Amino acid sequence: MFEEMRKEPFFKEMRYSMHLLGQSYLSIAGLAIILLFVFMAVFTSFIAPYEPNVIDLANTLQPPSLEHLMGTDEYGRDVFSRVIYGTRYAFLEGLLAVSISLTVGTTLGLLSGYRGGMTDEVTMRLMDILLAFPYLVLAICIVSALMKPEGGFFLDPLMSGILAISIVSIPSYARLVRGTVLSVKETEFVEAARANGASSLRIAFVHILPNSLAPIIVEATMSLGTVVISAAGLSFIGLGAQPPTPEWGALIASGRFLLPTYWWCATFPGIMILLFVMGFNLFGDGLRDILDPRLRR
Amino acid sequence: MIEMERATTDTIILAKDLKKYFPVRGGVFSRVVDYVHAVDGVSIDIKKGETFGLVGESGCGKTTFGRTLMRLIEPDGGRIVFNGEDITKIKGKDLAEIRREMQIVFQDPFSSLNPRMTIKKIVGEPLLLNGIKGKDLRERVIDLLALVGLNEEHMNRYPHEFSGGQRQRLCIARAIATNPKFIVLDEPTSALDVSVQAQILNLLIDLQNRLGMGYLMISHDLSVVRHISQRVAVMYLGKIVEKGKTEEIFENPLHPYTKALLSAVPVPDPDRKRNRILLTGDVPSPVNPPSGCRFHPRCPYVKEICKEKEPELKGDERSVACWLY
Amino acid sequence: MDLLEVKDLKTYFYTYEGTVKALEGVSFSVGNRKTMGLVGETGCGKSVTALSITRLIPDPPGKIIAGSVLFKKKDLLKVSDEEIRAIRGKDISMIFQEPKSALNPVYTIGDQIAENVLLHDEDLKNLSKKEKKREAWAKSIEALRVVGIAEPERIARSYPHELSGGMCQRSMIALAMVCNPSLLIADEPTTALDVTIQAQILELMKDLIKKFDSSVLLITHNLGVVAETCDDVAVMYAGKIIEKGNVREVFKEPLHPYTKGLMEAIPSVEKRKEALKSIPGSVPNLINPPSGCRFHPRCPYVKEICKEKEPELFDGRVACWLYGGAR
Repeated sequence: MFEEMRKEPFFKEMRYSMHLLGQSYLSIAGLAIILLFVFMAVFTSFIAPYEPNVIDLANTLQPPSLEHLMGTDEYGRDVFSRVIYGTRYAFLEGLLAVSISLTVGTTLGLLSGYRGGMTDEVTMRLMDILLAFPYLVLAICIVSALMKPEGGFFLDPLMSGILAISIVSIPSYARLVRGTVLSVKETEFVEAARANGASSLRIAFVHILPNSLAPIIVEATMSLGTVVISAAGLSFIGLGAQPPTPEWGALIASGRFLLPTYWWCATFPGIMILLFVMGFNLFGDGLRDILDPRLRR
Repeated sequence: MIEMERATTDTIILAKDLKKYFPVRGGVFSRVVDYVHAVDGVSIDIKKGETFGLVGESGCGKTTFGRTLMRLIEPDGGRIVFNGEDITKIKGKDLAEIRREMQIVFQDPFSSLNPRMTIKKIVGEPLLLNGIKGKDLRERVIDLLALVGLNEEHMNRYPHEFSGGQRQRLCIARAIATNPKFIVLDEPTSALDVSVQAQILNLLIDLQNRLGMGYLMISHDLSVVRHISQRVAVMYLGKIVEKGKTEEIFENPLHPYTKALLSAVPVPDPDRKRNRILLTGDVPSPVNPPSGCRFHPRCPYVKEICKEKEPELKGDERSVACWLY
Repeated sequence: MDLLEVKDLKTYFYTYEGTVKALEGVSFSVGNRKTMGLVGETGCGKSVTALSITRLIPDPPGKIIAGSVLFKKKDLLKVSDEEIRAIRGKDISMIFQEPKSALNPVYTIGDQIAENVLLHDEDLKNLSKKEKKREAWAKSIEALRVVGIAEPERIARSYPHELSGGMCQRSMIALAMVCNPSLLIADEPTTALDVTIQAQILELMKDLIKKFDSSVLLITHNLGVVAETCDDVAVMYAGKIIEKGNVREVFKEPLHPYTKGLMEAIPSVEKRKEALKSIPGSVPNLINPPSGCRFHPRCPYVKEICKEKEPELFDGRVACWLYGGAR
């Protein structure tokens, strides 16, 4: 069984992909950063020396030291531990928002590219409307709409932030998928499937979608980073995760007034966001090169 | 039920006055400003077990005709009769039923196989769509691969591991999977090298002898058409200009276009000095085809009438559309 | 001394899967005012030969690793980059298979031809900038007229997408011939064209060769085109020349089993052959070419020696153990 698997073209392809990836140091660096964050998110409780939300009023606003690697905040909470716990929130926001927007966007794009005509026209104009608003402004509007008139949230504030960002990221997937579908639709193997009497559903999901995946994967990887920035942005202005949640954006928000003297409270979460986004962008760039059929042989 | 001229019981498919116009859109509101007259009234009939050749240069509408005949493109006029049944307007389940009986092999063996499917899935797809599953499907796929000169080992591989010739064999295997009665061959060898082209042509002839399908061989290569077909039609700008038995057309071409086309083919014999009829100019645009006979601006024998009135395809077995005859 | 002498040319491509030995010791020459045909199937190395001669092989992954290309007694593989650039487009010019993609879509035909004149024409040296431009434009119109374009002024002001494939190929030829090159390399010049247009272009090329006293290296897979236009022919298989000679000799009496096989595999327009003889198998992978004679796995006359030792080009005519050495 295993012998047979090794001969499978899929594995040969994978090996070749690894080879291509190995040639780009930057994407390897990106992958390393991502793996480091994954490690942090999985083994949080082992890495973090303190509980993230335990208040220790005896040790408020300590500068970075061996005891508190990134210092402590105004309630004496260990910034390092909070930042490590923040990794989990970053992955939660990123993965959830990307999977929602990816699923909805891909479906819409597939539908509109494959059906064409009125379906296409209506869907794409809707997407244009979404794109006509600045990204963050629209997200803010959506979160506000999810708030109760007397204040407070219908949903969990973190979730409403994620939902808002998911909605505003849909158009980019929809447009991307529509474009690829339009070109794959014209290939002869799709026509052959039609000549065999395959149903539209089968053609769309068996023939067209698997051949349009490459750009979607790249886009999803790249946007994991940007989604986290936007989510952090929302919590920074108080519309996403709320304090005392150790979410990076919220950490920066609460640390921003302390910045001139107690710089460590906001700086370290900021650096984490930077690294997180950079990791996914570098890796995404590498993926694009690997999946580009022109570079393959 | 259907009135058919000359359609006998041994006719597998018949097209009568088939038309396909593609709209040309332009202007601010993408209005239809004009039409490409891709297929403009083409009639042919193909017998069971016969190969009918359709030759012409690029843009003459031969590929569109093949697709329209199979209902992959909706016709804008005319009728298609398949195996005694009018299929011009059928839909849904009836159409799917008919699809099983007519198949197509495309020009480019690289883009006509889904790169993410294994050979078993590709060749088995038409079977799967007809409700054949599991062990039956597997056995049938092995049989089909053997028929086209490949073997069982190839089943779990992907298309990119095969050469152009092998891929074309796979396309043929897929096309014959449901035992069709009629296959459109759309330039099946023009992407292949000559040594491989011969293999594929021999395979096609062999399969026809064994399974008795009718072929519509669409090609720009006159020598290939001569080799494989019993009857030939020559197309120019959406219309058939000459039609008849292969031997007669090639030995004694009547239409000036057929004559020029035949004389233009380079022959691998350095001693052969032929009287080449060099046509001037290019093929005109099918959006605004010339008045009268569509070939008149390039014809060496042009007369007054050619510019004004369109000649009809005259004759029964051997027909030609030219005012000279 | 012939105009172009290619000796023992070896070009390899270094890829992930291994080294592709695209050319493995190719030698041939093109005489003055002669048309040499280079035929073979996809992947046999005929286009790589053309690109190696003008040093246009993309590096990486390609590299010319051995051999010499003597053009007018100068080894093109040894001259400086500047020198080879001066030779390209002036002494040696090329035309390609896809005329539409070989022309730049954002410049007019006339501009593109005039640019070549400005780059290479020595006569324009002493003129002022304005005069140079006017002169170059006049020359490009003249070149278009020579290739049989009816309204050269109008065509010169057109963009490639406004013209048909045949027209574009005529313009490409005008562009190639405007500096009066001594060698024209034509890589499948008519493959993308319809037969009636192909006939026009071949006639035109024959006329121009006579008119300009040029030599031609014609690369094609179409044996008919070779028979009608060339004086000499070399047949390539898997990176090697396996048969070479005068066109009449080779076509009347092909010696190599591969050449024979090719001749028998093409259907004829002139008469219907009973059955086509095909060559079994397909072209070998050039990363691991077969041992000995590269054609031996597909050859009907294969002997023991064919599998072990590579045949040389016996009498400069055919590389096959049936005809030389240990008979």
